Amino acid sequence: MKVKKSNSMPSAETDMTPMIDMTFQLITFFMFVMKVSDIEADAKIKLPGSQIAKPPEGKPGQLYILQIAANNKILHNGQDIDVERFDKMLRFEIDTMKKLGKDPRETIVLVRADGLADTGYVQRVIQVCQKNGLVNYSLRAVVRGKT
Amino acid sequence: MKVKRAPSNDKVDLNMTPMIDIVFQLLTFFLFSIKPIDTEGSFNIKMPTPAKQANPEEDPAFPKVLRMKADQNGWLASVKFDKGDEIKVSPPVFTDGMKHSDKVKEINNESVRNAFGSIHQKVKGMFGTGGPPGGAAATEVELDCDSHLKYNYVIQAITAVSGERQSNGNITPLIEKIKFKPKLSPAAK
Repeated sequence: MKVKKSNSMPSAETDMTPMIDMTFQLITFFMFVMKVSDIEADAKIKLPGSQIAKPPEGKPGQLYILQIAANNKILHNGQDIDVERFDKMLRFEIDTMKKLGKDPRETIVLVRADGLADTGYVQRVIQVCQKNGLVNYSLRAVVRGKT
Repeated sequence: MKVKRAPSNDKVDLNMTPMIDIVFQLLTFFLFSIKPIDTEGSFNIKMPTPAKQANPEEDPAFPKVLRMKADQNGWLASVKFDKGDEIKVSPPVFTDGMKHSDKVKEINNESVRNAFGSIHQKVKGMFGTGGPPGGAAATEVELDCDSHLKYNYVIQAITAVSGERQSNGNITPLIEKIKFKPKLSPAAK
């Protein structure tokens, strides 16, 4: 006996709505979580950790970011520079600051030094900053064990 | 005349494929570009150009000295606070293929933590009965470090003297006036 096949094929449509919903939620989550840092933090520098380093409150004032790598070099615009060159550059920047009517004494020097850099080198760089009239320093560390 | 509309059974199918493609591309972009950033905190210190060196015997406001000696590799060898005893510290021991986080733990090994822990207790004890006049706010600590000492220990020393994190997360401040010794010690030269 011949069996007649029915013409109506069952449709295999999947409901995409939950997947699209989830994907949009994920995108929203990543967009909010993605933090665009206001400080150009160099990934080469591994900051030492501290339990009591205070995360910055409010908008910082005039900042001068000083990054010192583990190889005892100052990182400036992606380049390694030595203290002598840094001194010249800083002098120029302080002069520009003064011309713009800004007081270098109000500038905060943000010291981002690698935990393996030599203390003597960090001190030497700070001395150069002191010589150029900078008095406020903020030593950066990674906040650890916040319990 | 009445015009009869034909019953429309036309289904409007939206083609979702391009949208899903774009959405997944966006998702992939965010997944790859996201980089967990450690929260950074700071220690704010004021360091003007050092004035004339005062004599510790004559000047009562002379800072408490925290002396940190380094071994030939720059690891902390000993630490001494004010007139206290010198505390010896054992250097870190690294093994091959050690992860960065494990290296950091090893640099701040138990003997380092104990040494700074005892200095922290001493500083806390100073502000009880018989502490310096004016308390923590009037006291200053001067860090006297060997020049090749790893900077990590400076942050550990500042952590030990400048405050304490309470169980509720608040920080109780201790000595906040911290400075580096302007002239490096003979070993540092």
